[in-house]
Amino acid sequence: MNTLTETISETEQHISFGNIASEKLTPERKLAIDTFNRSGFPSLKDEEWKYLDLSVLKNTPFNHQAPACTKLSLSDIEKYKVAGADAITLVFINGVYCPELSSQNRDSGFSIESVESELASRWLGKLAKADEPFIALNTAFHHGGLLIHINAEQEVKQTIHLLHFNDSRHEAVAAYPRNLVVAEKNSKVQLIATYHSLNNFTSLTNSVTEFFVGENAFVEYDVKQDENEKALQINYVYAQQKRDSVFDISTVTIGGKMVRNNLNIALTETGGTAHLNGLTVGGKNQTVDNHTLVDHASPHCESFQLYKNILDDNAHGIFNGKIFVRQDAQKTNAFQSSKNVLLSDDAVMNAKPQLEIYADDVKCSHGATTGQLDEEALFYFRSRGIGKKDALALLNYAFAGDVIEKINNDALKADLLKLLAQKLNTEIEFEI
Amino acid sequence: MLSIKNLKANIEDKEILKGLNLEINPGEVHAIMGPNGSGKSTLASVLAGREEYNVTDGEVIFKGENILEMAPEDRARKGIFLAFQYPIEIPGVSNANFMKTAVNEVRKSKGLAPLDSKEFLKLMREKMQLVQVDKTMTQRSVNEGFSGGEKKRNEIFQMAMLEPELGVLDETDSGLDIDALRIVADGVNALRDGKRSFIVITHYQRLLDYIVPDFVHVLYKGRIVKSGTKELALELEEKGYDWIKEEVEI
Ligand SMILES: Nc1ncnc2c1ncn2[C@@H]1O[C@H](COP(=O)(O)OP(=O)(O)OP(=O)(O)O)[C@@H](O)[C@H]1O
Ligand SMILES: [Mg+2]
Repeated sequence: MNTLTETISETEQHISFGNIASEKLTPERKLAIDTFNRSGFPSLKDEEWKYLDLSVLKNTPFNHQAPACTKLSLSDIEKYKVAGADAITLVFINGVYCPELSSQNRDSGFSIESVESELASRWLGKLAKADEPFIALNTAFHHGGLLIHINAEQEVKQTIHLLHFNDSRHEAVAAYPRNLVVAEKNSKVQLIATYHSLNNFTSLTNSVTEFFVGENAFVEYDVKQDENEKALQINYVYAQQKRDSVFDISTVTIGGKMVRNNLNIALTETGGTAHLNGLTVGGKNQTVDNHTLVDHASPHCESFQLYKNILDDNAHGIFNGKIFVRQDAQKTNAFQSSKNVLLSDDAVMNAKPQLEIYADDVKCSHGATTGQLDEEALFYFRSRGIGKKDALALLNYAFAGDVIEKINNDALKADLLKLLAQKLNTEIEFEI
Repeated sequence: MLSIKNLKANIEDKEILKGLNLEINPGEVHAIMGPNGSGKSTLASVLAGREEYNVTDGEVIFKGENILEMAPEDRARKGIFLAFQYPIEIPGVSNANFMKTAVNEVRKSKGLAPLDSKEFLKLMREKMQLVQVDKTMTQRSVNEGFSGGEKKRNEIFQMAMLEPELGVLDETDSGLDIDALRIVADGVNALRDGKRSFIVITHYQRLLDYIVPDFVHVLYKGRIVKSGTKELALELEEKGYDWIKEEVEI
């Protein structure tokens, strides 16, 4: 096995590429490798990556073509489903779709096929470009991802749950989930993605998901990142929105050693709305970096961003949110708020909101606050007989509540509250 | 039930309580009056266990146990309740959820089973009536956007829910209109059962017309400098504190 850097150069020397001979590589993959070789990994000198230390990622020898679907059984994955959710579960192991572990009965409103199919090529890579180093890697190495295609005028009644595992129990695995969601005109769908790891070794999940949201379509995408303390994750989400469409995304990050999320929303036609919500609960040795970019390219669009971090121990939180309002995008409403609480003296938060506005008739605002624990509130709770640990948990829950509240799925909400309680180390049952 | 002996307490190296003594028996109501800054809220905070205060001397025996080393939550579970002079707002936690957690934590410490939702609602409804708290108030976040008077009423509602053995009311009457004052006083009186005791901190004799105290104390410069019966409050109302200050300075 090789480190990522070594593998890339080997590939270039036409040595081996898993079980695919290099001459069979598609031009896109070859191009991605070339692009990566020119750029290399981002460094701390790179403005967009300046707070994130990638040395573990660069220096770990990963297997990029680890065997996937055979290693888990249906009963293994049961507990990772969202309890009580009426969901169609699509299971991905090391980035590969595993039909035998996935739901068989499907809602008629959508179809799935390989992300490498003829149909998928109409969209694949149109938003996620290989000039981003990690997208180049994903483009070079992904295999077995899905195109989820929602037909026009269809409302998918069940939630589509993309259940991702990185199986690094026997070796360090780099997984490259690559999925594509196309919601045609007037369609409606809710998707959930959850990320889990089974680790003895360091794992890397480098995930890219592209959304094409058609005219007047509604897409909600809720992400739960619950990998473990050996897991690294780089996650790209792109959305392109047509006229009057809605794209809502909530990202809840609880587990993982290092998580980097990149959200790129393009409001390309008039009347589009996007909500971006994020909650991070970070503890010992965790780094969570949320980068967002909302590109207001058309008039009369709205975007709302709410990102919260609760950081304990030596956790490191990063938020970099950019709102870009182009000259034509008059009557834009764009709001962004980053609120953070540090529970320990060693926790660090870097928040950097950025506004770039080239239109004159717009309403935009952003704000970032980072505070300490509210000692007065803590005393108030304790004076009513609630123990310190539980009081702290309740206060954190209260702080986090409005992010979770935004999710339109009661089963997932309950699931997240349970996870939150676990992470906050309390037996108190939270209610919304 | 409560015995305070020679209590001295500092905040940021400034001595506020300077050897305070107070004995309270079950069922008694003690009013504490005194000029601004004399240490009344400090006493209340020290009893409740606020950590910023440093107790340098003395003891506080509650139900036979020195509580000074106890965590605030353990004091509350043992039966001490402080109605705050300035109740804090806590966005995001509903009053009902907060009280359910508190009631069940106190029950747990007594070895009682937690109340289920139905039992809890029943208890809450009963106590809401007592201090005329309406339903929207319990559904809202703790004290968030409450008026001054509503906050005070909410404190008494919480006290009624938790049924402590010693209630310490720190200026619960300030900010209340005449009707609310009567409601709150009736609520407190309803909780007087011959065993439960109260420390009522106030600046106004008016409250003591409603909640009739067994004793009235004057706290001045960190000490109780005068004690008497309810007539003392009337005398203070009439004459102010100067005569007491003079007595002390001699
Ligand atoms: N955090 C603090 N730092 C410094 N001094 C403090 C602090 N808290 C209280 N004090 C001081 O302690 C003294 C006693 O305050 P305390 O609040 O106990 O008075 P009080 O008798 O309750 O007054 P009031 O009638 O105005 O409520 C005051 O001089 C006050 O300024
Ligand atoms: Mg006071």
